[in-house]
Amino acid sequence: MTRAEPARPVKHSRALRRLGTTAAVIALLAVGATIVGTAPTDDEVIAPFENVGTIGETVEGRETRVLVTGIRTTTSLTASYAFTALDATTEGTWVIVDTVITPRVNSVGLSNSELRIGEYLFRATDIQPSPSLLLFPFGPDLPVTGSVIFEIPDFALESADARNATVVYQSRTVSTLDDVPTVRLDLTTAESFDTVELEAALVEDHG
Amino acid sequence: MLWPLTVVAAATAVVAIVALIGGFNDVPVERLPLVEMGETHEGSEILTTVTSVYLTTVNPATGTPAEAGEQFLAVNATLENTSTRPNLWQRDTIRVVVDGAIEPEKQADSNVEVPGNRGISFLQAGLPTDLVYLWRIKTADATPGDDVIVGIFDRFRVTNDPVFDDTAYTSPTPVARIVTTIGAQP
Repeated sequence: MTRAEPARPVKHSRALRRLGTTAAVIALLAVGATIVGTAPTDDEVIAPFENVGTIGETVEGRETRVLVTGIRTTTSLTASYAFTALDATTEGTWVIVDTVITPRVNSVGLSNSELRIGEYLFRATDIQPSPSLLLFPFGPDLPVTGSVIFEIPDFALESADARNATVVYQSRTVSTLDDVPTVRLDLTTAESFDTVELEAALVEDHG
Repeated sequence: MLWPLTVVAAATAVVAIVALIGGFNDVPVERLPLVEMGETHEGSEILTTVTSVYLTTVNPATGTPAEAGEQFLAVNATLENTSTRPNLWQRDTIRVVVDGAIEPEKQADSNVEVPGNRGISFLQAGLPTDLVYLWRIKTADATPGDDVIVGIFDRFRVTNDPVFDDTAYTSPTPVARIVTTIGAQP
């Protein structure tokens, strides 16, 4: 009696199973790498919700309603301050975003507002006489007219990204999971002035 | 009574091993690189150019006089934030040492932008900014021509700090120095 030789098809099927397992492992690794590679970062997970609008359009956030009425640029700013004898004049490249802000819940200061041009992020400059939109003493449902002002380098204003800039109106450095008004601006359409005198923010008179 | 000999032999062996691997070598003291007045130092986040160091009895930014018996040591510098975001670190970028008047750990009493007389709380990205750093000192403590060392400081990102996991940056770290005299021209 002789022992039967193992059938060749069994060897083939083992080899096929190994091949299948290897392919499955590689596929799972690829899927895992794709998931890890495309998953949002920690910052993205807690990023604020940006309610986006344009000039002339009222944009709402949780804390404020925002209406941008115009944009200006200048190379010289002058400010007079009520409580000091000093007047400040400063040269530079300035973007002035004229804005009406209406607090919704409480008085709010938008001192962490940002102007974004391409990858650059510019912070609002606190040069305005008080009260300003950055230190905002008025309560809910009182619309106040003022400006948010940014000093920026010339290259940013002259870049192609200046056509698609955005201003984010926010009171905190990081508005985690909050919704914030964001307004798109084409800075190339801004009206240019030799000099601009800054004024304090005013409660709007609705008659 | 072999144990005292054993202890002495073991201690000698430890000392010999430490000596062999360089444990008793002098630690080299690295001197901070020198930069000249007017020369730009490229830090990890900020370009720093110190343009003058001088004494004045009038605050050059505000025009207000110093208190009686006091004067200001002023350092004028141009800083440029090379990142794409605002930088809040300009206050710690420059310190000075004046023998008997200002110790190296003393932060400037104020730093303001000139011209414009603006207290500055951040450096805008890509925007060269002229600043004056001021230390208030007694009139008798320094005169023009005295030696002064201007230190340029930097900070570095920290990731996975083993003690405080929310540490983002190192403490201010000196990275370059200007050795000059008060009032010297670049």
